[in-house]
Amino acid sequence: MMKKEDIIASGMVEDYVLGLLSPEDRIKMEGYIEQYPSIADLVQNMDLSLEKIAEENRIQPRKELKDKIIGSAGSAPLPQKSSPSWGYLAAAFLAGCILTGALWGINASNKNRKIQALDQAYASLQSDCNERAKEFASSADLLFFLRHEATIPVPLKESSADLVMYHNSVAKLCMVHVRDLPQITADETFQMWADVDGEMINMGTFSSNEDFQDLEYILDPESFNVTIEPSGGSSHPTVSRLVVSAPFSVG
Amino acid sequence: MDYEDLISRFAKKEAGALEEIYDNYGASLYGVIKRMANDQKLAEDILQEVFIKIWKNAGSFDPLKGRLYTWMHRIAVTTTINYTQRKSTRVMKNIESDDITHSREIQNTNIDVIDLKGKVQSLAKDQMDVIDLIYFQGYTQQEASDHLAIPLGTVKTRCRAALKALRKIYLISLPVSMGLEMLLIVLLLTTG
Repeated sequence: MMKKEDIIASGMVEDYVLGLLSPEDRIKMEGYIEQYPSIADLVQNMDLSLEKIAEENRIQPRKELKDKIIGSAGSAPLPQKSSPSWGYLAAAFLAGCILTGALWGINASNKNRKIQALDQAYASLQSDCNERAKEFASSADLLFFLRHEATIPVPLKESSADLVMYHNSVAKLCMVHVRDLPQITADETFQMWADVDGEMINMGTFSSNEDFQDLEYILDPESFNVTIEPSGGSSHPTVSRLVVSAPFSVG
Repeated sequence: MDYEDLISRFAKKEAGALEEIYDNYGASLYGVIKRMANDQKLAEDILQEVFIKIWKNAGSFDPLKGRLYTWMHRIAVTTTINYTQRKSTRVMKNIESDDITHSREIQNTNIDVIDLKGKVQSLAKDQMDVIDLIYFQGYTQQEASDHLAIPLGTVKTRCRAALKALRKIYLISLPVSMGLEMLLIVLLLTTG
């Protein structure tokens, strides 16, 4: 039976939620879900993210399809619900009138030139808006993560290093905020390690050039440790090149 | 919607449970099917078959192994693949072509026709592409690798990174007060 850290590191959880595992691996994974509540939580968490994407990309089927489908599936339908409110219909009618009026006005005065100009302006605004929305979403995501009640900050500070590790056991995410690090050569990198039951688990490499960087999530670490390693990272920490270390505890 | 109550009533096949599932998840499932089938009539037929299967197999859904939507999503993807492969087989037989290409090439000519909406757009483009192919088009990772002409390992890495980013994106919902706070921060950053 695999250890839960190895299961998470193997990518099996992602393959499981995306339905990509072979039947044999699927059975194995279901065994892990039963054995490890934290794996079960992670699966539910990923499932929910994908469910939300699907919800945001939903397409409403034709209304008359519902009765046909519910009838053919053999389920007794609930009592009929009331039809859509007149408020919606009135709003839709009013919006239709406004749109028609606006279009008629444009057509009346040199419509081609104006429509082209409007199209260009709209495309430009749309592009600008999309960029802003992405920037906003990215900043908002980071702020949500940092302010989330389950996010625990762990300062790692020495004379030449100043970092903060963020650990969130609900979202199963880890992130490092780099403020200051010692100079390293081009063929070296920084690597984060989590001490779990006396074993140093690799959390990934990171650079001194970016503020916030994602690292691998590790369950129940006892401490976080930064070492300098050859470019690309190492499978075991070079203890002689330990930069900074700090203990971790929940609460 | 009380999720726990719904799955409990669904497991017992109680009256009204399927209708509630249709009301809550029907449009999400139809969105996936429509993207894959790229044909309204076909997508409606598939949605009907999917709901028949969902109701018929209600007893096999285990809430401990994942969420109800994920279970139904897999049924929808598999059913759509079966339908569209049957359809493409028929088309190929009709044209009596000896040049049998991979069924997926015929089946999924609709990639990128319907752009993904919502927060998934905040993913990096390369991550969004693999999620689009695998989650919304039913590709295997190998098929996605062939389609995008990138190594299988890269597809796996992008899948993992995308799911990690999505967990962060959907970590908590945006409270109104925090939204205003963020708006102020962004305005300050962009103007100053």
